[in-house]
Amino acid sequence: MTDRRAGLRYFASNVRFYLLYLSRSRIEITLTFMLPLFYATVAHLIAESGSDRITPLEITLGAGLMGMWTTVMYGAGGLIKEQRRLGILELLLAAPGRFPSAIATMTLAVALFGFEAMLGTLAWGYLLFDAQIDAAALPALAVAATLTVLAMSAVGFMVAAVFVRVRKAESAAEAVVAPLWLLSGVLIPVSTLPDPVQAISRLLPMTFGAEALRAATRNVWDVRAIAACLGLSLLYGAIGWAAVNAAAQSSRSRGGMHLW
Amino acid sequence: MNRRVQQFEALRGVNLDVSKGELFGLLGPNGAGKTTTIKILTTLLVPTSGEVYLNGLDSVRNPDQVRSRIGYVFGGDKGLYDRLSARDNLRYFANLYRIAPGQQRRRINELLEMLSLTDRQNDRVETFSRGMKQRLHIARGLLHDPDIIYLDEPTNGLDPLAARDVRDIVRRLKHSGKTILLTTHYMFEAEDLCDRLAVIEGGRIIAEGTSKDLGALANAGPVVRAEVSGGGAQALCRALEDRADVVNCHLEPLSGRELVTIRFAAQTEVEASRVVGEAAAADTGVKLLDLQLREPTLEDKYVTLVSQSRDKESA
Repeated sequence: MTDRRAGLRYFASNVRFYLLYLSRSRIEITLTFMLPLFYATVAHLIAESGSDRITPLEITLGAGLMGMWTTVMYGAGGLIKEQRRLGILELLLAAPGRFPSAIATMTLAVALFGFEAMLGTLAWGYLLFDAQIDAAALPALAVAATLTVLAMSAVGFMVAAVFVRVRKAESAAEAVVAPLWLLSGVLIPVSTLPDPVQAISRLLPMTFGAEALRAATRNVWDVRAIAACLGLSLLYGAIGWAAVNAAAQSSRSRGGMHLW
Repeated sequence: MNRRVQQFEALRGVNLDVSKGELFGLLGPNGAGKTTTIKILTTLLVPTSGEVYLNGLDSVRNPDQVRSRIGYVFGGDKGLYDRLSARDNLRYFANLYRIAPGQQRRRINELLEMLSLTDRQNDRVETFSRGMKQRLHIARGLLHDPDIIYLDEPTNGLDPLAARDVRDIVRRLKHSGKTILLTTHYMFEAEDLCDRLAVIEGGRIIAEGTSKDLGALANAGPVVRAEVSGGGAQALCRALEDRADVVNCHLEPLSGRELVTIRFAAQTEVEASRVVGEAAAADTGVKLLDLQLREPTLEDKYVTLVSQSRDKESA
């Protein structure tokens, strides 16, 4: 087995480990799966009293993305806090291999956990609000969904980097969740936002992930959105990697990380 | 090696040489520099100056290579994913240490068997006793079969039986040829397990050698245990501590009386008894009920060394 293949195998195995860990908390499962259902219900009810510009499937997807945002913003930081509480952050830092890679497995697991909740939301939308998926749109949806998980994971990585460095970063995460729903256009298209706000939206990979997903529901491959989402995700991932690495270096040289 | 953190110098010229296959004990009061030393040795901290070599490898320059050759086990019930099983935990850390998939199952089974955890391997760690968690900690630290093992207070907070199990495991590891550095606050444990010991205080190694060597370095004399009544025990202690040949005097209240433990520096047993007897007789508020003498234990030698070092530092 080549080094790269072995590395990917260990990475995948550890992502599976964290998914298993997340799935062992009843409160985590309940919140992750129930919140988007609530969002979807409210969104559909609001949409029914308004225009028909947005399809039931788009509304359901938007609600699922809101749930994913919430899961990632709280979950990525929460998992770092959990490592600290369990005294494992020190062990991760003392292990051979790259510390950011260990953190990346956690954030990808959190994004996948959020995606599972999104699938639950789609089922909810199908059963209650006639949010049908056209079988022909499935390949485009699969690609857009994969990108969305990647984008969420990259943002989660940056959030985790903050939590690695700062012991109590929850208040910051709490404050930005709701604005991120709006900014990334998961419920309403970014084009409906004021121009200066749209400029900020264009810095978020999820904005393009949401656009790609919305287009995919109509069996349209939005290549521009797919490329932008991929590019920004990689950029966020690189920044997150550098930030976590810097925190690890600082911890070794100045004892600057709160390991416990 | 040295370690300077802002204005605080955590270590001041620690120089340790541990041989292959040796079980070396690091003793010291809280804040003396034990944890900083362990953190440097496990590559979690880089010393401000100085060098650390493990099996010829420079740990500052080659942290990754060093990490794959050392095992780090700390005491307490942290360091494990409590919602998952023992096997899941070991599998995760096996991945982290890049143990080949084909070897993982065999190694995990071996360690579960060695640490008597096979029957509970699929149970959640949160249901484990403190002793079982400590054994699982050790298994985690041994997954990659390290040459050198750091055991940071591994029996801390364990009940006597669980602590005895852990000490047995440490003995077996030593017999299997592992080099072990152990920190502990339990002197009998250090005396029982370690080939050699070092006492660290104020960031410096103040004594190093076998338990017998430490006694000679401490110049520790006999220990007198006197039971007194009458309420003048504190004054008696102060008077004795003023003497140059008394290292320290410790008071412990008992039911209706007090136990005074006096540690002497080099002194004969006869002379030590006479000194205490005369001091008690000179204080009209004290009634001497009983007086016993004993040889200094490692704890007495340790207390003597640390007290002497602190006196020297404050002078």
